Amino acid sequence: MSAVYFLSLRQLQGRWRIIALIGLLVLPMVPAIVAVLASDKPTAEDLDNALLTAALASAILPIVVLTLATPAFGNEVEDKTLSNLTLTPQPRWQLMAAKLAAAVTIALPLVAASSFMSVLVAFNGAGLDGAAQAALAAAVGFSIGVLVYAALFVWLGLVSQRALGIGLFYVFVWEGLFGTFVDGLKYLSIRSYSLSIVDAVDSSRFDDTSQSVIGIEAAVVGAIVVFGVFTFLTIRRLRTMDVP
Amino acid sequence: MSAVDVPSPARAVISVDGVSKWFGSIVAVSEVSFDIHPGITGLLGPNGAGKTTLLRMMTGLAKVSQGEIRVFDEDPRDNPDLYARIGIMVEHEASYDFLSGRAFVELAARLRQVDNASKAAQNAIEQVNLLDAADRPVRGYSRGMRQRIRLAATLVHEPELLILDEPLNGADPRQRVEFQELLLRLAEQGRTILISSHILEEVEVLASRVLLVVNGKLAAKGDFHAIRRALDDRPYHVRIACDRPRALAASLIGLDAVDSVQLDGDNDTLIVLSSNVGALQAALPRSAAEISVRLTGVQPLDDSLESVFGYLVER
Repeated sequence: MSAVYFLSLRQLQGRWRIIALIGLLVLPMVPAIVAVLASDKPTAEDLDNALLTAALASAILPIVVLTLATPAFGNEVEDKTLSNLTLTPQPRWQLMAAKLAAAVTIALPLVAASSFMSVLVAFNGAGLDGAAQAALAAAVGFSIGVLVYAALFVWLGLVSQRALGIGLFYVFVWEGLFGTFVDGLKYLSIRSYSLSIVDAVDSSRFDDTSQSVIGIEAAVVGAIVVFGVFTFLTIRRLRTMDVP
Repeated sequence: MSAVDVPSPARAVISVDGVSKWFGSIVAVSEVSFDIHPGITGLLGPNGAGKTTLLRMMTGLAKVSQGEIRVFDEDPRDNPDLYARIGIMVEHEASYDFLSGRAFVELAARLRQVDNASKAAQNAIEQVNLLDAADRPVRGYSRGMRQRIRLAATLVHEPELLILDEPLNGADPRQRVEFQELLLRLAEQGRTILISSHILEEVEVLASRVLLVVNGKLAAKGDFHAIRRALDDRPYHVRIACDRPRALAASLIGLDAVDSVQLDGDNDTLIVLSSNVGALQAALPRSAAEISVRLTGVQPLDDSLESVFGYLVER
């Protein structure tokens, strides 16, 4: 398994991919710096909506994971190198685990650091109390989000050669639009799971009327179920697919 | 269709029984049955005949639509443990270009849980005679070198069964000979080797047993020489260009080696059908000289592999 893990880490560390990701991860610092420089300081609710919900949960988190997780198997399918892995005695669950672990190894520290730093700078800049707790909550919540999104997007990269396009459509339409405005769908939204965990770690985040947050129990169960279902589907796909 | 079929002794390492594969309405392989035994077996057929599809099913990469395949008496589909005993070199030349040749072979060894991966890789690279270039990135390799490093990765766990899809593609004549010698050595060690090719002569050197696949069907199977004899007996079309085609046609029609002669007036040529090309070859210059005809060209018309295989299918 470690051989596939280290191979996958190397495959995912393309120079342009990493440069693009770092650019993406710096973006949340923009509202944070605005909060520092603005004469009319944002409120905690403003930052919850603009930074945590709109920038980090709805865009940065899913897009960073999409960029790293879909190529984990997707590039192997496209380059026809997947048979180098499947024509070996490696159990299929180990292939899945190695690819998932490689995507998470790169995505999780990047997302956690970006979340922590941007929230810390923004809340401190706005002169709000509990900036460190808010930053920690964001790092924890979005790290859980990385795991769940990674399971989904690793599977998507294996089943479709248009995984990136389909993933973007899913992020903006399902998570961004339906998950926000169709009340029941937030129970089927990874974004809602992440924000609910942020809310649970720092109870001063989000007010009771927030459209994005569900109960922590539902969020944890939802995250585990989605993670479990998509890791299972990836293993099943590896066992049954015609490998190119 | 009748197939040349010489029975093979010993237990079957691979057994293919009534196997078909279709993609939607397209039938790629149709009701094929054969057994593969220890030694070298050649899987021959023109491009697009279904060889790769057959190999993909035998290796478990593709699902059979109908029939059954057994490898070491096990189903190769969704059976990772079986790959500890098999070395498979697939048709496409995909490898991890950013790795060095040595790292690529070591990776293959680790994926197959070989105890001392570095030593095994060194041995395998030595076998394919690529030690000099082993530490260079694969992206800088020529096609022949890529084939050799892929073969090293296929051999690294010393498998009992080797399945090689067009492994000689891109090899230069010297590499080809080395490769053939290596495969013969491996076969002498008691391994089972199945090698596919669309070039008859390539397999002739290696394999005493062949399977001929044409249009997804098994056209012939068994001893190579029996099949070769069947090929040699077939009638050939030969185009002959000369200054007086009518006179030459009249002279040739009386020869035993000639079945028929057809004049092609526009081009001053004859199309001769012969069941004994060797005799025609000997008699033609003599006949032309006797009637003072000057030959300007002699060209066999159906020497392509497709026509050779097509002949076997029609028989």
